[in-house]
Amino acid sequence: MRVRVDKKALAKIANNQVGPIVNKVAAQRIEKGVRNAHNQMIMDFEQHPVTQEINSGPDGYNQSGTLGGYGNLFSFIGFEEGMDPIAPIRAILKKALTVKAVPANHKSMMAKFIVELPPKEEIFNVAPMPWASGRSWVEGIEKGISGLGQYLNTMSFASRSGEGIQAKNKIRGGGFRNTKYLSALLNDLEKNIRSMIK
Amino acid sequence: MNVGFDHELLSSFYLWVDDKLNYFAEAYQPSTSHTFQYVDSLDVPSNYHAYYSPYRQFVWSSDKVTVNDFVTINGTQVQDKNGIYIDYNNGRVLVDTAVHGASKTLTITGDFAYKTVNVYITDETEENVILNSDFIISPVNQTYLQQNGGFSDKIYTVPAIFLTLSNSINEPFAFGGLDNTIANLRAVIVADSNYTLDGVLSMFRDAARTCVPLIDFEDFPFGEFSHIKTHPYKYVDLSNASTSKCCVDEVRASKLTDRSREKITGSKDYKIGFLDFQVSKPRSPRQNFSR
Repeated sequence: MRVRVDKKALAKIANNQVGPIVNKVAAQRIEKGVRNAHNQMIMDFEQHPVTQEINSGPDGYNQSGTLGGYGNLFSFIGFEEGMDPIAPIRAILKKALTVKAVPANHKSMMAKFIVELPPKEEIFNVAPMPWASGRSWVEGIEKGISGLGQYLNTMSFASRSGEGIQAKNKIRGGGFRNTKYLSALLNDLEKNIRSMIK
Repeated sequence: MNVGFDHELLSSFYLWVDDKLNYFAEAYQPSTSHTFQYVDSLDVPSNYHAYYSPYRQFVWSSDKVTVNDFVTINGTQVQDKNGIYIDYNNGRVLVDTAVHGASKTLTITGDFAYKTVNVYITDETEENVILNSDFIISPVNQTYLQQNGGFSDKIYTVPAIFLTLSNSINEPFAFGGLDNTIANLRAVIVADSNYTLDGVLSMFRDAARTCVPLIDFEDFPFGEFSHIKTHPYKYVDLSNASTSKCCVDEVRASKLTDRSREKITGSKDYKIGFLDFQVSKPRSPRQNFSR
């Protein structure tokens, strides 16, 4: 007896019945992978020498090596004592990553998901230079920071302590060495998500 | 030493910024009559005398205004490079004493438009430009300069833009040795009013995702005395002839906060802003090393 199979209809039935199960399993796996990669990224951020140096405040030492061992980033950038520049960045990074399932096509069993990473621009916006609105110190870590912040900090200290200060020749210029920071962490996050869901 | 990519990039960028200010922002005063006055200068050859106009940086691109290539010496019209060099960048005329005599009392006049926002290339760091430079405001302080004979001093006339190449990196781009050279160029803007500062920041922020023509170093229009090599100089012709371009990927505009500005400038009411440009150009850098 010859039987004729309507392949399209069979695929449609199979996709309709198996698809949701596959999607559910895939979603669980992806969410787990994203969660793990996200936790790893937060840990890397907290342990990054730049984060730790800025967290140490004005008394920290230059563990990031960005200043050749002299001074510390907190004072160099120009933050004032008591400021917590890391907090707003941490808040953005700690937000759970959104995983969105793209509605499945009944012609295919391929499941698609979109993972939304923390937006770099949003991080730059919550991390302004203390002396220049519109410039981000996080971006500056990667592209270079001038010594203006340090100068302004010295001025503030001098005026608070009642000492005078000469406006000229007080800055040791060109002393900042760029280093990879948030871009590298976000790139690693993307790589880790891809490797964890394979 | 041979010319490198960074030399070409910075000089091309300088011409591009200058053109944007002249052509699009029209940041200049129309042609006015200048009387040049002799000043002892250290930066001119011994067989030349320098005569200064009260203004720095004449408009040198003739896209919109008439750029004269002559001055009048004791009533006689003298062409540029005919025993004189018109130094457009410093607003002065260098007079060859072998041709026009060693007198320091020549009466030199000429009509030139001058920039209201000057452009300087500097290798100073940002903080050095802001903290360790002397500024005078154009045209308010010109009389002060005239009285003190300070024309030849290393004083920057503001409003001005100071350009510097901050750092750069080559990232792998394609097979066959093609790299993407990403360079960060910085501009410090020192202005006398928020209007000028906002105008400059706004115009260059809007220049993101446009192209900058790369001009070969030998085609750079200015000679050693900031004179025009071949009159007339038109940026549009020079840029149209260029076959190579780099892309302005990103521009970030920012201003020094009022509190910080007060600490730095004290009683002087300068407005300070910054432009951070990221430009890129796919190149084959290792070809230079083949023998």
